[in-house]
Amino acid sequence: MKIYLNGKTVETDVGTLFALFEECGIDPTCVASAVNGNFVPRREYSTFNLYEDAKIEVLSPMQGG
Amino acid sequence: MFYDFNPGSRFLLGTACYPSPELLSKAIAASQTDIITVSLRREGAGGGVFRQLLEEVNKKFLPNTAGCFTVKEAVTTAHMAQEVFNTNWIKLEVIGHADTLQPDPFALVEAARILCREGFSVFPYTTDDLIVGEKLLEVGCQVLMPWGAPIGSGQGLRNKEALKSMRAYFPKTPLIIDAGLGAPSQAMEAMEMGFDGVLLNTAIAKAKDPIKMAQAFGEAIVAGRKAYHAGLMEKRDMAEASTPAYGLAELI
Repeated sequence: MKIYLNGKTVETDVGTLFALFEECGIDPTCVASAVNGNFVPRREYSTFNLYEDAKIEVLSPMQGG
Repeated sequence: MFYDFNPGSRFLLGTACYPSPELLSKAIAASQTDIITVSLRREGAGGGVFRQLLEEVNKKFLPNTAGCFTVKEAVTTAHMAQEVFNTNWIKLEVIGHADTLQPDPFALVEAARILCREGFSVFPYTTDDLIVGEKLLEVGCQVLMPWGAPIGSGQGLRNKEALKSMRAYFPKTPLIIDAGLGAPSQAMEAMEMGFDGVLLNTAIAKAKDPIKMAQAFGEAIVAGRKAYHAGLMEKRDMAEASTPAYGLAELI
């Protein structure tokens, strides 16, 4: 299955957002996520099923004005 | 009082564009701010260092929605920020144009309506337009943040008369000048005019010595507030001698 993770194309066989983070080495406790522009709360990572062409944004705290 | 928080300092400091995390950390300390603004971005180099810095500085976080151009982007970003920073505070920016970074007031009010209804404490980055300010209060904002000048421009208070009107029009609403300030004198003037706080970033981050500049702004903000409370004298068109005329010698 092809998905987009922070703008990059990723081929993966995993089923859920949680498994994707595990596969990519992302610590789910210090990021926030959105799929196709919609916020996905952390508690839903393990039940959120990925699908073809899903656009996933995984954001971290960063400097800001 | 900004929502439920009574800050010791009226200085809100941005954390972007500093030459190094060490300088940022020292500038935060020198400014004596209680509130720092932060953002959410895709993880890049140095992300871990910044997270550690946030843990160490022990300040209240005000996450922003910088870079959002639509209601949906801003609302989604607010939700994400709420989870990551564990706060209901959100500095709501809905930008109307990439060059001017001027707020889109229509989208701003709409996003504020949604977020206030959901229980966010919204700090809207707005213009000095009084009716937009009224609408923002109507939908639940308890603070307004009018711009001094376009973000990052360092121009100071570009429309002082409008800002004075805004101060008079919203006597009880906390008003924070957000963006566009370049010098401590400009921050001091805002405080002298009775504004409740000043939020800035670039003027400090881009100074030759950010630590010293953070301190200078901090002191200016304190002095400006003190002057406002002390009551500035009225301006006059003509001179008026301060030394008494009574008792003046005849020397001719």
